[in-house]
Amino acid sequence: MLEVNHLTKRYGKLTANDDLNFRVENGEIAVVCGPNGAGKSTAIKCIAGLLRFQGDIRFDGKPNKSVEAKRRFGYIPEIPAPIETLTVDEHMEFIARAYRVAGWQKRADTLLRRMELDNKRDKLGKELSKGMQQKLSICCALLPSPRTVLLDEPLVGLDPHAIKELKTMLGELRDTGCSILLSTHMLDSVQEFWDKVLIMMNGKIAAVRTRAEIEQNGENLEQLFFSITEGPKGENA
Amino acid sequence: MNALSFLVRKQIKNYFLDLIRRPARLVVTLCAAGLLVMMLISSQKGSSAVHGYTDIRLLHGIFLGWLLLIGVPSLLSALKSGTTVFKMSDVNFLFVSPIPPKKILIYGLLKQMVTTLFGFIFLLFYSGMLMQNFCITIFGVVLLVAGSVAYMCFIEVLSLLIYSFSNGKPARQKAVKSVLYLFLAAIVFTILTVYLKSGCGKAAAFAAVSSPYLEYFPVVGWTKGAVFALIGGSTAKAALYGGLFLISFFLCLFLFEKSDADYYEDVLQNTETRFEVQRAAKEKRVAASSRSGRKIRVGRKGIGRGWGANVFFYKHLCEARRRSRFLFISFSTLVMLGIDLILCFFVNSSGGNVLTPNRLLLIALAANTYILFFMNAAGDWSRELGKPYIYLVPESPFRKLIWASMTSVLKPVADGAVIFTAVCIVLRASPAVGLICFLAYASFGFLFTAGNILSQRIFGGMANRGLVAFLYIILLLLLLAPGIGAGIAVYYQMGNSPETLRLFLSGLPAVAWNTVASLIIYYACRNLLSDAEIE
Repeated sequence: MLEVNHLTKRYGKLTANDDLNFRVENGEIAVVCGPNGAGKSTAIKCIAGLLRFQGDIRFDGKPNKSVEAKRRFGYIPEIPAPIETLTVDEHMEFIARAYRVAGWQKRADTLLRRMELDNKRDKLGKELSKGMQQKLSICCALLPSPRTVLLDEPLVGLDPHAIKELKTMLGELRDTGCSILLSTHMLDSVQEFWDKVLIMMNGKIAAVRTRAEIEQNGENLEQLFFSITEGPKGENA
Repeated sequence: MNALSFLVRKQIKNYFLDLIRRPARLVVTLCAAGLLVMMLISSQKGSSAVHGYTDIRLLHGIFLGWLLLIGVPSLLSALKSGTTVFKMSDVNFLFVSPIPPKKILIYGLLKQMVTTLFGFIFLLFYSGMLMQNFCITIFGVVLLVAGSVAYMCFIEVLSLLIYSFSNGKPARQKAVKSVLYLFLAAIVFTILTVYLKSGCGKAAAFAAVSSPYLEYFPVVGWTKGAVFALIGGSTAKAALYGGLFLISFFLCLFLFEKSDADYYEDVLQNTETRFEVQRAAKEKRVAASSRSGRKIRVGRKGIGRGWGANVFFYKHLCEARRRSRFLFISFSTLVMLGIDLILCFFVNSSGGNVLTPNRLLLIALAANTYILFFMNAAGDWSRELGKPYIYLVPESPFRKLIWASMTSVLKPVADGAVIFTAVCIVLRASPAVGLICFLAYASFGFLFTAGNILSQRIFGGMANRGLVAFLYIILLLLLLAPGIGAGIAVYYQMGNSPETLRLFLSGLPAVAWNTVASLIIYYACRNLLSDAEIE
């Protein structure tokens, strides 16, 4: 479970995230959406412990920068950054050794096969296309079997097969009780599998809805999104 | 108003407005400019012939070598993947506009000249050294920089011409490459011939690298000839070489403009590649397009060892193995060794006293430390900070800090062992002085890595990269000062002792300070990785 309490991130005078509060329960897929510059990526990076912040972020009750918390989550960045001089296989070995994952080979095989990277095992990180780098990044994040997965715009740059496979994987992870937080600005791409949506605007969470609430109130997610991000003009549009 | 002149005026105006709006950048710019002016003034006052000047003919050779060093790789790279004087914004906005391509080309070239000029201004920081060692004035230094800028502009135009001539035609590419290598071979042949005819030795070496025959070589020789003719006050000769240079420049420009090739297409691919590489560099990642770069020999597969934090060390070893067959001993080691030997050879040929082998070894130490000062910032540790793994891996931050920076500390140890053993043998210097130079160099490597860590701790949160780089240099200088100061004090305290003992003991304070200071910094920054931000 992921808990975010009073998360604030400032860059000088600019407040990128302003007092964010939310939870992602076990077995729940939460989607952070919002227009460009809303603060989605900054929030995900703070949660992953890559940026300094004010507030409190916990994974299963452990502070996000603690070693115990780091064991519990996997992070898929928006821009993949493979290690240029390691092969695909060696990336998996590196992650397994760094996270102390025993008997990792079988799981690595499965992940690479599902992401269609099994025939690229000997390719160096720098030899992969951007899409393949993103697939490798997904495999690396999922290898230690994390209890929470953080995905920053994960579908950008992936081919249709990988998008389908990633969506299936996210469904499977949810079924095993994993909590998932995913940021996107493309609502259509996550329409079929979200459980909770957090709409961000100007660094704040402007609305939180569960799928049940939307269905109960007869709201339309797209209309709600535009009414928040574009105001009354958006509603009329 | 003409669209291009509007664009230029607006860009210049906005550059200065941006500078004013960012006080930190303004302060760094003013400090750098002030430092430059101070250096020029003080070096003019300080230059004296008391110790004797180094033979100016050596500067002829250095300048020619410098021109070849900046020109030839650019031409070879252009042959392979083209070149560009444009930015992506030029492609997106100007290439599709109804502005005549000729005007756009001139705009691009002028902009490139300004960029090159700013890029080469750093050379003025060496003005003090040049003026104090060679008998030249500030005017001479400015001429050397101006000559370099003009020459690079010519290389840009020649690169465009070569690419448009040979793009997609392997036979032409091969022919151009052959001509280029023949040209280089002819220069080397000329130098060797003059050297042998002059009877070998130091005087012959000076005669060879400053031979007037070298000035007959098109453009590179003419540039050198024009610059030194002006320094020497020979206006007619300078006008001749300058004229030849200008004719070549405009001839290349004319041929390129008249060539059938569509230059938009010629520069497009390279502009896109450069844009992606620059963007990737800003984000500290590898551009997908950079995969066309140097081929990496994979060799033995697998990381093989490490469990938890120490896997970073074994990963770095695996990467080092792929960069060089000899692990830490790489091409840069050989380059430093070469620089040391050449430096020692020429230092003793200056007009002053001849230095003993032990003192030459100290000069090699100073040169290597100077190179390490800048090189260390690009080591494995710095690269690791640009990737998320170092922050994400569930291990103690201190253990990760130690293991992830281990190869950055070990590389200078390996380099130092090879370089100082070799230089010590060649110079027949005292093994004790060789040993202290090695220990000092290794400890400087440790201190620079620790300084990098400390800089990350203190300045890591600052967004202005230029300011961070400036403060990082100041920080390293402050860290260096106590050890070097104590060493100098010991040296002067032991005025009557034998030279070997004096040099050995004066090195010990620096080694001790560097090591202790580094260990303290490591301990003080033990939680850095739990409190740092990804770059």
